[in-house]
Amino acid sequence: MSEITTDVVKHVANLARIDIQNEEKAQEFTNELDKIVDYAKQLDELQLSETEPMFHALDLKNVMREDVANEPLSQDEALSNSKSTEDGQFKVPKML
Amino acid sequence: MNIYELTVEELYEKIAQKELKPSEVVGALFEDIEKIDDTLGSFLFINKENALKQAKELDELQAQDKMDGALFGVPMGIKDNIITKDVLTTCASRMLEDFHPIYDATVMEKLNGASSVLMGKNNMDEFAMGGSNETSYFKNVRNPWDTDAVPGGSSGGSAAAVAAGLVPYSLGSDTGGSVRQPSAFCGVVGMKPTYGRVSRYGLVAFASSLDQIGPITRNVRDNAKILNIISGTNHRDATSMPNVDQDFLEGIDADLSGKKIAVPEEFLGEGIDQEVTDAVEKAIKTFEEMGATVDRVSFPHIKYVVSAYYLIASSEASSNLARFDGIRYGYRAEGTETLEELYRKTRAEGFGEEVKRRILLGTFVLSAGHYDQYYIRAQKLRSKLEADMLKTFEDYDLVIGPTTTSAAYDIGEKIDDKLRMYKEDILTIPANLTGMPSISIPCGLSEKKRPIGLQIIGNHFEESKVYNAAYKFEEKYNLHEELKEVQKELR
Repeated sequence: MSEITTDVVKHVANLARIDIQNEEKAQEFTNELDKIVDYAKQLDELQLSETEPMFHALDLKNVMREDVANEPLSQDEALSNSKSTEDGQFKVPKML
Repeated sequence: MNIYELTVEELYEKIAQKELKPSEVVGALFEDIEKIDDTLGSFLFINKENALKQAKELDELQAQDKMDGALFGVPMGIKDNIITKDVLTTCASRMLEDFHPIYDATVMEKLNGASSVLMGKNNMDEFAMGGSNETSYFKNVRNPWDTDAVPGGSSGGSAAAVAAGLVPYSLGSDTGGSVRQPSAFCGVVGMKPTYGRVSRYGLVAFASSLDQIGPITRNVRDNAKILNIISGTNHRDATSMPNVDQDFLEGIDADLSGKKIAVPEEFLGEGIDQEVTDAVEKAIKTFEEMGATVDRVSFPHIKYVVSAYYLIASSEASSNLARFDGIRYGYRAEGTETLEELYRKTRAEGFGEEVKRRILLGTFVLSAGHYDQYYIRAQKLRSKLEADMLKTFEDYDLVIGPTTTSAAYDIGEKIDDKLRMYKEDILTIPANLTGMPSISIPCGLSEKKRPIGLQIIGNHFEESKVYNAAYKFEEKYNLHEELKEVQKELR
């Protein structure tokens, strides 16, 4: 068994800002994630203390481009896919 | 002459010679799409009005002998996670159901610049998460070889459309096998280039350190031609590799004698269907007959790659998909009173189950107390795997094996067992984790007459060697005639 419980799933869903509809759904995610995380524990078999993690496939550092001014997006374009705008701004519900 | 059977090169030639007008080609393929794609579901929507208008313009240029562009008049399908200016781009998700991008992906700029014609956007697994096209919010895709079978995924719509002759080529994206696996299932040619070869600008990000865009075509030369056009250093993608541009058609027909090929024993062992093993063993003999030497090697860390991949890819996805908040673009939940509630409801209603599952997994992996245990260990496994493979490439030109553990399975057959489906990505994941180029080409048919794919992996930036071996093999074995039968039957 892994450490995945419904409480963990609810905590993680909270961090990811995804509402889980009901207890049944929470249980379903718990069962599935438990299986996956449990399977991934196979990595514990390996001796990896001397190994460096590989975060990226390429050995690239600081690729620079010419610093030239470009036309930015217009305000209309930037807002064109939003469902709610007002006076050229994104409109959102109250924060608190 | 059947227009749907023509390859990219043949279409280009016939248009250049004025044997065909661009509007005839585009018109004929739209007729086919309208006739058979209700069954296949390979397109999410078609771009008919724009495409017919563009084709008319190209007709005029053809008449005036002003045919500029390496793909003048050649139609294309594009996976729906590659953004197309003003043309709906949904990622097969409710989250982006009505998203009209305000710019083109780099690959689209290049293909439009080559005067290719966009026929429509290809169906896929939602946000490219899945291997059977069953997670699309809109509809399933069916395999042209057998409409009971899945086409594979996540670029299942692209592979099915190319196999069915609805377009001569499409672009897919490959994070853990999403170009190669559907290409194997649909009996076509799919390439995942070296990480950094093709600009990812305008590809909706899934796992940024693994994603690559790649071509899906009906033969190897077409594939190399499309990669020639879409690849290249690009300042809009900070991971685009400078100074590696080359012509992949050059030397594609070179003799294979003296080439050294490695076959990892783990690629033909437990968990691989016998008919797949048999087809690959036959392919190995073919390479030997062509003068290559083939040796068995071992990649001892292969059994861990599925774990490492799902930990890394889900972590990156959980971060990348945080941008979908209902505010700037995409789905927005109704009737929410606070910003927090807007986020929660939008993401609960906009994302499908598989996407949520991966976001939750990734968020767990990256959360306090689990990061070192899971995420870092997975990245260390990646180093181990790369070391195994780089060592092999010191002595060998190429690594070959099957693309998938089995031929295409039936729709609905596996969707309830997520972990089992994840495990089936074991053969394609190594090329993503290491960033190496890898192609899938047909090498057989299963008992049920479903295609089997041969995978050829090269060292970083050695696509030319991969294409060379694939092309020479294709001369000895291909499914071109069988595919024409499939296309005829669908019509």
